[in-house]
Amino acid sequence: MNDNFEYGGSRAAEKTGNNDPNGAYKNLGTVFSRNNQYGGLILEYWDKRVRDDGGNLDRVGLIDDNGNGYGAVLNAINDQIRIDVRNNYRGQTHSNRVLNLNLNTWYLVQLEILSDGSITMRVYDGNYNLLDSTSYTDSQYSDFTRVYIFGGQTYHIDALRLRYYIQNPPEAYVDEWYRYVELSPLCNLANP
Amino acid sequence: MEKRVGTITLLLVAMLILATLGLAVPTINVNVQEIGSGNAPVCSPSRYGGFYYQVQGNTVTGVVAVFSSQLENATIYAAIHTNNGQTSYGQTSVSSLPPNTPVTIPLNQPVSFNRISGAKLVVADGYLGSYNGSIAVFSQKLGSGTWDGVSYANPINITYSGTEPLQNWPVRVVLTGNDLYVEWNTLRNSPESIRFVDSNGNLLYYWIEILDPDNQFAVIWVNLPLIPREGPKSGWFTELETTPPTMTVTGFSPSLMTLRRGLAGLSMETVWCIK
Repeated sequence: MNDNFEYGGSRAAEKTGNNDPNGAYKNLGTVFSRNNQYGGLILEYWDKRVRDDGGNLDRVGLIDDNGNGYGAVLNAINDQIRIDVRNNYRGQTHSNRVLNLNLNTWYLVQLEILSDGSITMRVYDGNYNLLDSTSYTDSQYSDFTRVYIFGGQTYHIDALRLRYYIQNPPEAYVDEWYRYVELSPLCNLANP
Repeated sequence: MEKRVGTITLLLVAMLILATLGLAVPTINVNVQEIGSGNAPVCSPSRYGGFYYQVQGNTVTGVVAVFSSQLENATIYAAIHTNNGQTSYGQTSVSSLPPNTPVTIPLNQPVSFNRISGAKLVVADGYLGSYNGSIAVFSQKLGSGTWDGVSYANPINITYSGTEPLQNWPVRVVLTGNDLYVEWNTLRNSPESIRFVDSNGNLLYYWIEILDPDNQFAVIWVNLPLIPREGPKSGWFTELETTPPTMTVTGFSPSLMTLRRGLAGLSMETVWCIK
């Protein structure tokens, strides 16, 4: 789709056609466990609902080979966010929370799946400002092999990535600038 | 001799920097370009010493210099500037000048003592040749990493309080309009010319997630090969000397365009960006 969020690109994935649980999934290439040494996983992506063509929910998450897992649910039609629990691909949403959302607007969605059983969805605006979050607790599924894009239509997904969670992540602070000072002694004494 | 020259040079320049900045920067690194290492051989302060004028009546005819260390095969240059734009200059060569021994540099034309606006004294021993050049003195925060002399550089400090060492960890760097000297127009025209290096000057992989020069906002994920765990008392540098958790963002050169080698170098476990 000729749309994008990530810098330098011009396209995004488009979820269209049949509603949930139809859509697409893609293998991660290995097994990612929420019970890793760091304490969890974070799935992040940019989501933009472009039309209301049926099915209000933008549903993206992690599942295993049997379709079991968790996801984030963004409803820009009815202004809601929820947590998705997938059982054999069939989704059930939890922890519904009202959040004012707009069509044709990119939102950063963050799904945090921790080893302690907690699942948290956060939504940020285009400037990385946190808009709201919702949480649910479920420990049924720990290992994930696929990322899915299910739900309604039509919405765009871009810059999707999976990374490890850590409780106190390293943070970067841009420090003060110092421009260099240049001393230029005039050594040519014949023409100082 | 060269080592001693460099040491004294370093001290002199450090004093200059401290005086210039008024001690505003508590800790700084001063990298002094070696004499003769620039585009052309350069002159630099290379001796401790002092000078006074050789005066006849109200007229200065020469400069008398005294140095605290011995000079070997040196040439001493002096120039006197006046407030009416006149410059008088001269030079004297010595084969061996003991410490604290006055040496006179006669001027090519006398100048009125009352008109002197400034004086320069340069010692060249072993660095003859072209005497045009410059000495670049770079100031930066201590520990802000190797800086290779490009136009702009900015230290980025990484804080991490966890106990688990992190390998190949993506760290989010946010650049905003508050970060002075981010050349947003340069980034707009040549966005991938930005680069990140660690404290040792090693280039780091990165991925630009957001670049919005109009609103002066960028989000860039930088891959740090190793972030050591925080020690209970020791700081970063003593915890793991080889990889202090600082990095520097620098810019901007067209030759750096190839540094973004794609997402393969970024340690996010899976990144899909639809181009």
